[in-house]
Amino acid sequence: MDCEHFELYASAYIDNALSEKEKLEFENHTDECDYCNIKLQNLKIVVESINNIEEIELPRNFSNELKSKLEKESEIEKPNNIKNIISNYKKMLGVIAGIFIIITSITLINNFSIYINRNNLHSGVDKLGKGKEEITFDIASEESMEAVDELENNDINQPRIMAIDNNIEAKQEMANEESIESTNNEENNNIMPGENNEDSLEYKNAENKPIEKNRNRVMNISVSALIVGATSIFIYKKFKK
Amino acid sequence: METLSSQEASLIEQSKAGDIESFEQLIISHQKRAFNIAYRILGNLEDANDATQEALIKAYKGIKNFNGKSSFSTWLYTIVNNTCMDFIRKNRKTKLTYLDREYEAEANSYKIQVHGDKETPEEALEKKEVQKIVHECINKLAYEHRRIIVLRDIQQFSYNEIAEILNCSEGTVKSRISRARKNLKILIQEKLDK
Repeated sequence: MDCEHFELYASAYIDNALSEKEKLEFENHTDECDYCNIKLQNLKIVVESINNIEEIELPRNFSNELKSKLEKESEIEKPNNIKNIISNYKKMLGVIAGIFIIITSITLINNFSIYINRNNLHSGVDKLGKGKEEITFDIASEESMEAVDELENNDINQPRIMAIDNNIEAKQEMANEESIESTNNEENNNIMPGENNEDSLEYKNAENKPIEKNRNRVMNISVSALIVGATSIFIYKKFKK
Repeated sequence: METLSSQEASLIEQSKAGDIESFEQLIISHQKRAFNIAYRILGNLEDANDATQEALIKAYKGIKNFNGKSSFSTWLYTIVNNTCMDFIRKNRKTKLTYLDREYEAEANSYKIQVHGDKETPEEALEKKEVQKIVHECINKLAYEHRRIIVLRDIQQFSYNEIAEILNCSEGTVKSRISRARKNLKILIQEKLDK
């Protein structure tokens, strides 16, 4: 303890707020140091002067004025209670409406993203289907033209060999059918990559389905947590009041 | 620190239900002290009256939230202290105008308690003069120091109670008291030297 720490300890010493050890050190110092001792005595006089400041009485009309204000306040509070109940219900409805909007928005977003994914899948499949029909149509038209030509030739040249022609026609038809089949087979082979593409598209979609499901699951959990949290906070505040 | 007596607890419960008479009974032993705190912080009677009334209305409105964790008096004086601080913030410009006139008005509008018959008139006058000087010097302190002087040296709250009222640590209370008293001593010294 030295003169530097006097200010720090003097007030607490007067208020008896020092520990025993600190108190002893302080007293030892003030016994030895006249300067700090004088400062301590001056401080004690100041504190005692403040302690001796007398309380003043309340103004004459204080209690009446307070009473009328309390009565006014009490009257204001009564209709306010009804207003508070109504406003609380309004707040509750507001919160419920807000939660409903959030759920609806998230559900719509979910459905929209699923809708887009489905459209992408269908359009991919549609493209493949359309290609097949075009090829088949082209083959059929070519074959029909050939068949017509054959028939015309037969009609012009050999009417008396109708039976043979018929046979020839039948054979040609069969040949045509075979050629159509073989062409189809070729096309099938050719579209194997396409089929692979379709498979791969389906594979991708199949692959994406779990991811999509997980995403939806996460969103649903988030929404549920949000609702539970908001409701809990609201109920807690309401009961706290 | 005071603890809730059963009578006080009963009055608090009834006040929470909105009973004005119970509330008046509850605060009757505290209102003079509340008024004096406000008076010493704000420095004049008019502001002290307004601030104290406002604080007591706030206490009436807020008593539903009183949870008994602190004593009722500490809770009430916290409201008084905060109301005074709000008052000061609102009326910063006008606070100094009262200093010159206040003591004249006070002499007519309030009664000084004289201790017994042993005091001579001269002693009483001297005492009044000393109090006047101390009162004026307290009014010259910064508000942070002023309220700590009021709470500790005038109202005799403990360090723990002051920490609760001002919502700070006891260490902070200790250091503020030390600085406030040091400044007050300097102001009084200057006043006496004039």
